[in-house]
Amino acid sequence: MIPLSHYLMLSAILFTLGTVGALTRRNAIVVLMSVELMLNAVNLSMVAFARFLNSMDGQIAVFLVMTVAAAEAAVGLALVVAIYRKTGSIQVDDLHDLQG
Amino acid sequence: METLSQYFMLNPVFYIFAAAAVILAILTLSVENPVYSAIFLVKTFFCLAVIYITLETEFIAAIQVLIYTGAIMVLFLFVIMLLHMEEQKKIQERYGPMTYLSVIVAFAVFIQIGAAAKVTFGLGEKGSYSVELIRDIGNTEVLAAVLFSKYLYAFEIASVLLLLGMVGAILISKRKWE
Repeated sequence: MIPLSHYLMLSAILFTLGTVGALTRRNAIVVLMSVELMLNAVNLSMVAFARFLNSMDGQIAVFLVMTVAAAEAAVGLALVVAIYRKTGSIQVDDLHDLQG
Repeated sequence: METLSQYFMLNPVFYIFAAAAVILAILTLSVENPVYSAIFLVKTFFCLAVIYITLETEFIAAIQVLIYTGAIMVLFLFVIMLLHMEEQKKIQERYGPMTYLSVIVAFAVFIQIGAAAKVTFGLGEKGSYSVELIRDIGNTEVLAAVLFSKYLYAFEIASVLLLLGMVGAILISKRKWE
């Protein structure tokens, strides 16, 4: 049996990689993909905890997180399409209309 | 590390696919072309599905493949196709001081989560769904029994959320921006 800490370390590594991607990339679509990667890392840790605690609650939470991720991807990509049609660019740096 | 190699001999599947997931995630973030990013992310999600199977949660592994790689990533690829990415080659990935700051911040997050994972904490009292019970009845059936009784309201709210997400996506992308 693999110990719980190995699953948690894998989850931490994937979450960190997602954070790096969300903070450093300039392409809005790749930023959204990084957010998906972070959600997956959290899902992994929740499933691992559920398995090691003999509980089903973590798996239910993963099920609901996947629902939220699907809705988030749909709305986020719709926003990207709308921004592209308005400004002709999806570079995150170009979005500074709200800057003073 | 001796213990790590022992665990590796015990169950090599987890470690092979964990390493593959990390490498593919790094490739996702480092390639310039967003289409390649999406494909590498699909492969990462497949590796995570295999890791869910090592945790004996078959239903989660199945919906990981169906929803994440089948629905969400196809949506990403459709949007990339819609936006003429070859004309978007101009997107310059600039690496300034903020990039290094971001990497340092992410590394601090990693230290925090890793320390929390490494500390041997008491897991608290265990629930009633033991591994043997789930193995006996089946992961999908146990999950459905809990989802449709204890978490029925959460399930209903999630369905309303999906409907709202669909309406919002149509509304945002169809509106005429002057």
